Amino acid sequence: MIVDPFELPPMAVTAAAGDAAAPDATTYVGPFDREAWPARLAAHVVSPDPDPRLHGYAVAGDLARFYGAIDVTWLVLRGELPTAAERAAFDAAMVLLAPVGVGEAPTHAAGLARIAGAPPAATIAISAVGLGEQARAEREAMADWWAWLDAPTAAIPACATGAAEAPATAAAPESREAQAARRWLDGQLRSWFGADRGLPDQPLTRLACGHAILHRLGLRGAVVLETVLVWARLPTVMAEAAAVRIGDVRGYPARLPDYQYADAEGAAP
Amino acid sequence: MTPLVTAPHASARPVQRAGHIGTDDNRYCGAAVFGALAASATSQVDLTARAFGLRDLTDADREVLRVISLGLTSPDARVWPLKMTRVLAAYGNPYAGYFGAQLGTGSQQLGPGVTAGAAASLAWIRARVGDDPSDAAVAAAVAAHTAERGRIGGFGVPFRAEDERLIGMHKLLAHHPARRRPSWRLMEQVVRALREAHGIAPNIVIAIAALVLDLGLAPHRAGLFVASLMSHTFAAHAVEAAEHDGPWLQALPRDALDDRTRAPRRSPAAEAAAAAGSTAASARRTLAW
Repeated sequence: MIVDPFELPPMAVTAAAGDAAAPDATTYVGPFDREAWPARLAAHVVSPDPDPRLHGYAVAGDLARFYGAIDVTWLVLRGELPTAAERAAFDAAMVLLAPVGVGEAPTHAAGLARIAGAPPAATIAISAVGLGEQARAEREAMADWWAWLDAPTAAIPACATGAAEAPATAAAPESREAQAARRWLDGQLRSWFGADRGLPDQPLTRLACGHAILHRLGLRGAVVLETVLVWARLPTVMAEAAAVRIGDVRGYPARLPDYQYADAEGAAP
Repeated sequence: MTPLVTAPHASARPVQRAGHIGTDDNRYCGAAVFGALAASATSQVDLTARAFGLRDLTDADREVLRVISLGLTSPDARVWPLKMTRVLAAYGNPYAGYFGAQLGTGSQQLGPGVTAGAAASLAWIRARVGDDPSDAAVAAAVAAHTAERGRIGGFGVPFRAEDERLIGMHKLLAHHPARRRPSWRLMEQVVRALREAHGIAPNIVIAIAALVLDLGLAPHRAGLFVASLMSHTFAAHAVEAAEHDGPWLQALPRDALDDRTRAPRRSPAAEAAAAAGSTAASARRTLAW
């Protein structure tokens, strides 16, 4: 017979019913039983009401009528609604930062989750793990660019030009389209944040442009910055994953990369 | 997005040593599963240890791992990472609770992740003082560590005078050769130094760090290794909470919540609409943009 270890024992049943516990029952006492703890869980952003408010603004009666998702995301992260310039800049940053290609680890993992038959909830969680890791690594990798934006010097860090990751690509001339996009963004940044808050007139990666906007917006700190990056990208990753047929093990390039197993006694071909 | 690391040449093949599915047998971390491993592994712990580079465990080593696992079995539902397990499992999915909560075990403040830092500290001190150092040399190294690298993990016992888990492990290892191994002896000297200098009591983490170092584990792998040895506590809560906790944890009752949010206010757009006397169709985009 299988015994359910979580079946309530007799003393728990009688205690729950308000009766005295059996006289020979042991009382387990430890630090969680002795110490004083807060009785309630504190809410800081979402008011715990049937009709909730976000930082004081009614969701149904106000925010849903007059504002959009960009405004609300800014509001919850910053505590106030964005100005017109902040909204436009944040919107542009989210678009610039949204793509996470199928070859990048978060999207790749999400596709593998589908192949492995993970339900959507688990695939979303797996995607979020991958995106969180990517966001942390990206924040660390772009630290020199953020430092440069704080105090510009002559040399733009390689992480912003792409030279650090792919020297051959960086050596190629900036395309006409890329140059036009960068100059458009430079003009926008100056109009949003001031004449001295634009971009350097040198080729920059799309990622660097996105981070430059976040810098100008003051979206600093690991929690806020990584939240913004994950939020910008999760729909993209899930959309790419949704295109993968559940259980399609034959459709996945299993030898990409072509791992070779090796140990002291031999190796795979 | 531009990759954050430089990709190797397309023709390069990454080598992995974790495992391979063969035709007649499989390989796992350097051994045939139904050959050498079947002959030597006495329990799942041997296979787990092998994943971290610990091979050919002796019976004495296995006893160390058994004692560590027992020491890590402190599974109160109110311990924060385990409570997280229950909250995540509250919609009925034990996998969400079991695996989701264990993502937090890498924390450097609480839980098994702290072991990596503690092990690194012991290794740093040992590299500085060598084997069989004097108590004075260890005390000096501890002071240097504090000055150069910060506090040593594995000290401090909240809510009680002594760590009952550490006491229990000491009893179980009373006559075990592990207590004569170098990292354990160094750990005892570090404990004495910190007790004398700062009155700080050790907790289970520093003892586990010493034990796994003496097994040959690399310090940076200690956190995940220890997490794997305590995963059964997460399983117990995930299984139970998935089956029972939905009514309690899917949504706490209103009177269990302390509202510290901003006072109700009206947005600029709502103010403008009110001033214009408009309660008609949403002016959302035109006002907001």
